[in-house]
Amino acid sequence: MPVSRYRLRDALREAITNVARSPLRTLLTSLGALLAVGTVVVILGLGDSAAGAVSGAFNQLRATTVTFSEQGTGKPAITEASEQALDRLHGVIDAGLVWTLNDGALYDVSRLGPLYHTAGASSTLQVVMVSARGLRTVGAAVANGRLFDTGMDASHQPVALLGSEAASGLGITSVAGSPAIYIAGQRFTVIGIVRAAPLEPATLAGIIVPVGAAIDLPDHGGGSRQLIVHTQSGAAQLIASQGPDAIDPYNPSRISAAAPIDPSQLRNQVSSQLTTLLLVIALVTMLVGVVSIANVTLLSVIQRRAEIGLRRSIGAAPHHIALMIVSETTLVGVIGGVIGTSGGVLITALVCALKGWAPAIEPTITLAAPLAGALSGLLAGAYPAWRASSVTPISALQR
Amino acid sequence: MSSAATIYGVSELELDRVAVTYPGATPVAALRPLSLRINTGEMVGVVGRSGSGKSTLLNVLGLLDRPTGGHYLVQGLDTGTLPELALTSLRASCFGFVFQAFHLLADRTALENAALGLIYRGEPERTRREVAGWALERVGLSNRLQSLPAALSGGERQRVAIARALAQRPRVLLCDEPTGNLDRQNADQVIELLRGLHGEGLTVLIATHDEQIAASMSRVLSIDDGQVIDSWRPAWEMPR
Repeated sequence: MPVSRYRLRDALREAITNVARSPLRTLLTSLGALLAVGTVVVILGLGDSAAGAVSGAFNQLRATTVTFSEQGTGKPAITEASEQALDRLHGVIDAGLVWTLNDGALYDVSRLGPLYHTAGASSTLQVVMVSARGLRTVGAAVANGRLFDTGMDASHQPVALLGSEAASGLGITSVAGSPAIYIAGQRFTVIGIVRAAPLEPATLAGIIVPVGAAIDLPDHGGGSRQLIVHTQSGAAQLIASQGPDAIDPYNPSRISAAAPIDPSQLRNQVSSQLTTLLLVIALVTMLVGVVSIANVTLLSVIQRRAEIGLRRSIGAAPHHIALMIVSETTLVGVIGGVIGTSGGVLITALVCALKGWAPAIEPTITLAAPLAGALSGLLAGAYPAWRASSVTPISALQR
Repeated sequence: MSSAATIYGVSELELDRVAVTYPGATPVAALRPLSLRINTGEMVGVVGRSGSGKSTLLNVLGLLDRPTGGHYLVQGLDTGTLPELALTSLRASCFGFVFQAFHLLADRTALENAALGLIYRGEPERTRREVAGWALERVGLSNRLQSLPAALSGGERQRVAIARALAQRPRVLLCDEPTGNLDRQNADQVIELLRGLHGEGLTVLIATHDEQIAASMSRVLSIDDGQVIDSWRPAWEMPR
């Protein structure tokens, strides 16, 4: 007597036939897995892409800037000599003195009109003292005119740079004709209009004067001196720790350093915080996918009672019926996983293109996602398979 | 091929006080204790009104249902002692089924429907197709192998179902109201086909409420209220 058997190859072949000849039912059944896998791919892909964009932006600028400031009273420790002191540290690209005069209080500023001795516009503006190297360090760039140099600084020439906003307020659009301004009654020649200063954007709203010329201004002693240091990538943390000793070897505790968070640490922090959240979301969506497949399959089992009864009558054992159902749901899960992965990758790429991010999708995700769909199909088929295997031929065929 | 007469007297199926009672608030005796022998090569008609127990008898004979009392022997093997898998294997190897509702898979061709039972024999696909093709040719449907059931007439669908049963090379063909959904012409064709198969040595049981069909059998069992109330052999000749 031949033993009833159902080969895995036949189970898969029948699953493919059932799936292919009922495309609508297959699509509806796979919808859960499709959406779940697609959602997971989008979440993980956008998460990686966003983290890359955040760390990339961070790397561009802030991760390579250290700001030293001094505390307490007495003889200033941060001077132009400090710039040379920091040059000895490995990883320093440039260092410059920046000092907001008078604790940031505003000075009265007026300018000469187009005609000599004709009063022009006036305003109250913040004045920042920046060394020649400081201009370079903060990345100052002019829209008109030029920056002052070390020679001008050393010779105490009364020159000034206007931030773009300050220039607009004073009605100065060009340095042609050497326009002059009066800061608290002191005459300064405007030699340039600054359009950008990435590390000190506040200067765009005020006036920039060299160290030597600032001495002539009243209340120039007040305010916090800062030494802004542009470092090589990855050197900020080290320079922040070594800088105080280089600036003031006798009392380094007076010098405080503000260094950015290590971008790799930031990325890891963001990544670890996101990963937990994303995993929870991924598990929830996969669970939804499993339940969705299971529901539709259970309905299918009820509708196919007569077929199940027939198969039982012609030689199928209960576990053969279970294998048939699980094979179908696993295949449906794979189909949903593949389509969901493709859709997820496409949506991720589209969103990244709109955001201007570089899409970052782990290759393992594109391989694992269809497998996750298969696993969800396998799990989803367990209960419907058990129900199907419980159908007796007589109960199904007599209905 | 042996004629039916030469193999009479060899018990193919033997019911020994077999009963089927369905439990419930009021138990239902679908089959009262029944002793019966079906010999190899017989063509037996089981007649009775609806609810008389015809289908229950066929279900028990075909191992689709287990009796709640008595013993049922298939070629001397007591089926009451068999586990589920062995029962399934015995059913697939010995019995072929033809149902009133045909029970064809709508999205499979005639060839695929006919080959369905062979899947559970572990037969390779090529063999399944060959055997199914032979079976469909035997029932006169060699030109409809790739047709879906929706494209077939009622009689053709029933013949596909018969081919499905034939493909498994059963010893016994159990037919439960095989002509119940067919018009007279198709019904006659199906009965003629079954008689032809019987003539080739197949043991055939047909449950029917049609007295005219029963009269063409070699033996008729009349069943009512779950028990055989009469048994006779109509005047019948072997098909030439």
